[in-house]
Amino acid sequence: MPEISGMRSLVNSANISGNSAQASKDFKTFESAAGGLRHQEELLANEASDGRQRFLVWQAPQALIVGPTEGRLSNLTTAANHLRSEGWPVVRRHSGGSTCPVSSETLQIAIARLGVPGVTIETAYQQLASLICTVIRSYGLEPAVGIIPNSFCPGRFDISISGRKVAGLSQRWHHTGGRMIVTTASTLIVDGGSRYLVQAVNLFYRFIGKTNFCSESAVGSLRQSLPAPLVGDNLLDDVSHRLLREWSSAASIQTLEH
Amino acid sequence: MADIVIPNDLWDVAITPEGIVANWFYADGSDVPAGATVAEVMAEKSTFDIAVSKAGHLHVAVPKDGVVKPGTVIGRIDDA
Repeated sequence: MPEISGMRSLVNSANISGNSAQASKDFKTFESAAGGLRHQEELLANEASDGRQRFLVWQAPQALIVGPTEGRLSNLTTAANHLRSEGWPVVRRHSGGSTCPVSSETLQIAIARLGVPGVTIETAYQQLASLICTVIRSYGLEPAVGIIPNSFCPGRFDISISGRKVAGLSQRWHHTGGRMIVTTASTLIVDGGSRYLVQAVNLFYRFIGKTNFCSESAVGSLRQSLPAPLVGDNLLDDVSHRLLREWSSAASIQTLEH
Repeated sequence: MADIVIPNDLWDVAITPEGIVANWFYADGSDVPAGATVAEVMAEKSTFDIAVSKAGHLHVAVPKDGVVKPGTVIGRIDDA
């Protein structure tokens, strides 16, 4: 049975000092998904312009985060009003892809870095996908990377366990202050079931007139995949801790290699 | 005159053959300042700002929703 740490408090901002391969990490809880997204898209990107990679894990109450294409639909406001009345605020994001649900049972994960030569859409996705998969493996599970059809916001870097998507990734390359900041972000479904998340997305799709709905069987959670309850069970805290630790470990390796 | 080009190595066309121009932030024929983000390209669930280094007169070559790949010239900036 995989063990988790008894640590409930999460790591605060920490800098790995040394040389140009510095990176910082942070965990935050926001009162709204809009606030979390604003922090991720603005503050994180601004901070990364100094050349250091930034890593953020955050959590917020439930919301639907829509991508640029759906965010420009003429009936978005009407749909958003309906969803808000159902308890699902609708927030627009800048990174690509379609609608993605977040909740107190999901973790939002982001890496922000300068878009320097050698950084491509592919390498940036691989960096975050690799980190998340390493953490999932630490629970004795075997993740796969590849598109999961009929999941919400499907993409080539979907992370799944036993055929059910547990994480999706998207990216934004933002030109600001004369620099290109690459932010790769993910929603990782950690706790609880996934049905209510899929239902929220499908409700939104109904209101905007989409007909290709998500399938509940295409989406899962880390919790659902675990073979047995964990010792000292606070899965969200534990996953956050492992993500931050894995990031620190990867950053340390980079420091040593320089 | 300067071409507005999608970076050559932005994504692997062997895996993702094409993207689209998701948005133009300035109208064809308008004057744009140096450093302005003039367009947004989308591929692989990624959005990519296209900025211009010099000020000038914008000419759009690939309209919104047009299909593009790395290396595509999507417009040009003529001297103001």
